Amino acid sequence: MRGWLNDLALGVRLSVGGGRTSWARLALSAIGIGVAVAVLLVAASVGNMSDQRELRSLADFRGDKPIAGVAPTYVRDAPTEFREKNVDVNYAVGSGANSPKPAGLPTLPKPGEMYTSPALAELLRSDAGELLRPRLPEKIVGTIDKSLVPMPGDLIAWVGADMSMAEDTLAVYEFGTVDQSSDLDPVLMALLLIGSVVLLLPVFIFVSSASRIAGAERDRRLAALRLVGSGSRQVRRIAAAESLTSAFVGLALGVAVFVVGRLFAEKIDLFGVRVYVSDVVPNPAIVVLIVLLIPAVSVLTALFALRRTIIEPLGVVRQAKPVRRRAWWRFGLIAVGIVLLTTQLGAEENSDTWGYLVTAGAALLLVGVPVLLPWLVERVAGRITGGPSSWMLAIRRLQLDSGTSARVVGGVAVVLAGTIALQTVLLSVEGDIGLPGVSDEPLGAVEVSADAALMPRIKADLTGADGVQSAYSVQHTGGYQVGSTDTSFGVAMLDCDALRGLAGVRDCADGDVFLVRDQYQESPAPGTALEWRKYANKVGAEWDPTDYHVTGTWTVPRDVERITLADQSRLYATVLVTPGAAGGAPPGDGSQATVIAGVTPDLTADQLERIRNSVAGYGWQTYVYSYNTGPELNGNQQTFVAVRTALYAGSIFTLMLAAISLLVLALEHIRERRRQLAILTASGVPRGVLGRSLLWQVALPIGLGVVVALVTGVGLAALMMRLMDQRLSIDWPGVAVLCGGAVGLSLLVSAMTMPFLRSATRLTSLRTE
Amino acid sequence: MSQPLLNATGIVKAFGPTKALDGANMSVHAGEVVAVMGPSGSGKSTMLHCLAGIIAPDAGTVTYDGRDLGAMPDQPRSTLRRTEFGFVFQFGQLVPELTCVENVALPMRLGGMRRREAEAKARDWLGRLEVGDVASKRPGEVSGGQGQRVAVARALVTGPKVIFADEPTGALDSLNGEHVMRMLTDAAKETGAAVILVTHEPRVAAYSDREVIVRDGHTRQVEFA
Amino acid sequence: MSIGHTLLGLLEHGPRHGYDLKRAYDEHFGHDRPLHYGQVYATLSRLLKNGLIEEHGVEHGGGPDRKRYAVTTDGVTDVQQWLTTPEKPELYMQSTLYTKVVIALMSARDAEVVLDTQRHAHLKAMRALTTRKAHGDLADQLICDHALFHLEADLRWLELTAARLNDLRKQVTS
Repeated sequence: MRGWLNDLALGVRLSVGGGRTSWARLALSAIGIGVAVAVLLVAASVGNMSDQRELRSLADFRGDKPIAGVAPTYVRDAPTEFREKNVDVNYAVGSGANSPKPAGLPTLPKPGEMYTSPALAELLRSDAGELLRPRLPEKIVGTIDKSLVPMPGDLIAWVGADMSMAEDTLAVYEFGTVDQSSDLDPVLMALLLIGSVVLLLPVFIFVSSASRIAGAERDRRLAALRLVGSGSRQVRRIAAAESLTSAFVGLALGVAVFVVGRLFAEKIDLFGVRVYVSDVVPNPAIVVLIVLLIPAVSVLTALFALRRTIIEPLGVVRQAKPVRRRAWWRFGLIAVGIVLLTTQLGAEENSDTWGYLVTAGAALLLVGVPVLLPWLVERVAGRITGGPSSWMLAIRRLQLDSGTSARVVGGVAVVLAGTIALQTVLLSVEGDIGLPGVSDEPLGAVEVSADAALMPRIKADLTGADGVQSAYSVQHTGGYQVGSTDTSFGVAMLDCDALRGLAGVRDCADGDVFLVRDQYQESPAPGTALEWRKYANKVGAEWDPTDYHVTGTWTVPRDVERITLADQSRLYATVLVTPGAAGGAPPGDGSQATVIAGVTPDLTADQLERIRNSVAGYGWQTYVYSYNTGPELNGNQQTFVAVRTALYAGSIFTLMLAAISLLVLALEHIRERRRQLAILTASGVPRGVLGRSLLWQVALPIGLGVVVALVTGVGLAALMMRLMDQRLSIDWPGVAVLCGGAVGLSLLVSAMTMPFLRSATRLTSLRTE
Repeated sequence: MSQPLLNATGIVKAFGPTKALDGANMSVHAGEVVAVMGPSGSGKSTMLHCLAGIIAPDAGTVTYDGRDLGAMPDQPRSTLRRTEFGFVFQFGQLVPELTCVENVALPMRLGGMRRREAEAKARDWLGRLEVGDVASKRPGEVSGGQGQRVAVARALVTGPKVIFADEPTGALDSLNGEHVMRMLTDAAKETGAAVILVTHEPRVAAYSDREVIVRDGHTRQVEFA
Repeated sequence: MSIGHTLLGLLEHGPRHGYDLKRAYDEHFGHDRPLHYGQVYATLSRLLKNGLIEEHGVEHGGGPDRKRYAVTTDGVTDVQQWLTTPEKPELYMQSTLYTKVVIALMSARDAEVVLDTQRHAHLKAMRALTTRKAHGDLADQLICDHALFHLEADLRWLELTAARLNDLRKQVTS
């Protein structure tokens, strides 16, 4: 045992003794490992972050099962939006003295009072929140406790209402008592960790490149140890221990970065998600795992790298002639992947097996990239003859040892291919999300839903608001087929004005009925008898489809006109009825109707807020929803753009890591061949030739890697689009950015090796003493 | 005549198509200094490596102290190199990352000795060879002659029975070379170690007690009456 | 061996008498062959006659041994000239070793045997010189080094000659 500790100490001592190059290797490896550790720690915290947020949102849960002796609290949600951020507004009134309240509130707010989250309080106090105040005029009497605010920047208000709201409002008997299961699904956790490891692949490649620094010297050192009498197992232990130093330093670095970075957690907004600093706590079991695994993996990698070497007193022996790479299994892998993606082996579409096969196919295709590259570089380099001398020098070098740089580029190319595939998929899907400037722009509108009785007043308010071009009121309801339990048809009641404005119907008179073609369901045949039903809403009991009473009947008249609705009509019905045809009695129980206010295409943010404010006076009685109202993106679109930005950033980052790895390799090459290079220069070979040869050495693998990544990425995307029956549109600007980036980085890396080349070929390197 | 300490018979060793040794024999007695001479490329170094058990010959046996080196597994051979053999090569044998005193202490540390104890012994030997002042320097920072003396110290520190020296003064100038040979042979005589000295220079061979010629893979020894 | 010049050089340091001169000479140069008194005095008379030295007083006791000699300016000039003129390299072209070895090699005797035997003899001598050097003073070291280098030169020539003749033989027989 003491012997092993001794070997460990020797290994550590040897890893720090070697002067500048040794420190460079240590630093680079440690930085790479530190980055990996920090990322893994964040991944390990995701479980807790998600749990805590879940707990906080569940604190709001409303239990509506009656409890004896408890006077319920009536709660109604009336959320709004301010500058495209959601504002969660809850109106509440307690029916008794000890009515329940959520744990995060000190008391239930009284009418005219409200409790807000810290972010909302700050917003309302500041100038920026001026246009929000009309909607929340109540006095702020306190702050909502953190336990009720899921994310740091959330805008939440609990506003006091009066008992007039109680009718038709949810009666809550207790808050936040759902028994939640605490741990993140272990399967998800495993997926998350595996995902992090995959993301960190370029970092691992970088660390392995860094560990190659001064490889020749390490071989000599190990041989010297063997000469002096160390056993072959002992010398392997010592070699492995050398890698431990950077592992521990990297571990410490990663933990430090995590601990410090954590303090800034609240400032980070990732796809709209924010976390509290106190949430960022990694799972202790995983922390222990990381602390144990990182050194273990580094030792195992070091030993694995030594697997085919025999360390003898006279030198380190490796296989003399490089084994010619075989092509068949590489192409075979890719072929299997393509087969899986195109045929799914006949599995039933959208079944689980189908899903697994598709994933396997995609994975195989991606794996094919780093597998194919070394063979490709070797073959391409092997075939090339002639060319200028700088080119020839580079090719000969690559012919001799293509594996190293090909592996570096390969690992990164797979990330690039995946990125290109994802970007292409996203772009093709982009049309659906309706990014401005990308797809046909539907008209912007603000919809206000409220009790039908309020419609005329709301319509008047909206019409008068600045920026509103049109306002129509529509009442949507469902007409049930007489005699059937669940066959219903969407019916919308709107006047001719609205029909003209929304449905584009030119010829309309009060009393007309229109049936819509090509809607999501068939319209009822003329003459069908429909009835309006009010279902019993027994609290706490299971919904009974037969428990209803009919509030009215209506028959689809024979004389109808059939029309087709445009996609942007916002009418979700198969039957359009003018008030005259409804026979005076509004269909349904007449409770909910909507005013649709069309807005100008170039609506400003302020105008939007004022429009919202124009119906602020109705408080909990209205529900306001707006869309396509301006160049700002809604939540979905923001997520999409964020994901795309992240992908771009990720690919640039991986390219940079590849560049640094190649730089390290190039510098190592220069160092190893210092003497030969100096002799070449002394005998008259211009430095420019040597410099260009280094450029080709870097550029050829990168070039091949980008080409393969591009082909694989686009190919993969094409196959996936085929599966989804979507049109393939390639993100040419993005591709150009990536290719340009690769070329630029090759040039940059080569430029950065120039000073080292210069110093290596200074004639003073030829001194033998 | 006492039994030889180290005995090699019928050594055959080929590297690829060329035979470096083809039926070479040699024996070394305790405490004697033997020079192995011959033209360059004649297989002298190969003979040395076979004698030390670093290379396994294709045919023939090498026995040390009655033990067959060829039949020994790697671990005991390594232990032998650490405890009973010492090596002084022309260059490149000191570990550049360690200081001179750490280099000299290395064989003992590999054997499990505590650092302090090993380095004390190392300093002692460095002093005896008059290079005590380079103890904390790295091999790259000292002159050729000093470096070779450090190597000699490392070879002697474990009290070996055989020292294998391959052109130990090859990279040194005459004066430094003389100092190193003088110290090596004196210290060896003092500790009773045998020295196997591979060299092509007669003046270096003049430090030996007898010489063995290696030529075309065979060994010759000349005896006068 | 230019004894005259050597004595002059020794006298440069200061006047000495004959006995002293012989002692100094033997110490530095006479290792195996000490100088005869007769030779000393014969040389001294010659130098005196040529005006390169002069008498520098007499020690009491009389007799030729007690005369002290000092170097003259002429003598100093003579020594200076001698020291700054390089010695003609000895070409060793007629040494016995050379003759013997060439005949041996040309008579188709095994070149290697000749080489090894001669080398053995040379090495034996070199060993003796090396040991002497170890226990000697600077003067010993200087003369031993001189001898060692010459012996080594012999060996080097021997090896080259053997190689040349072997080569030639191979060409002839093939």
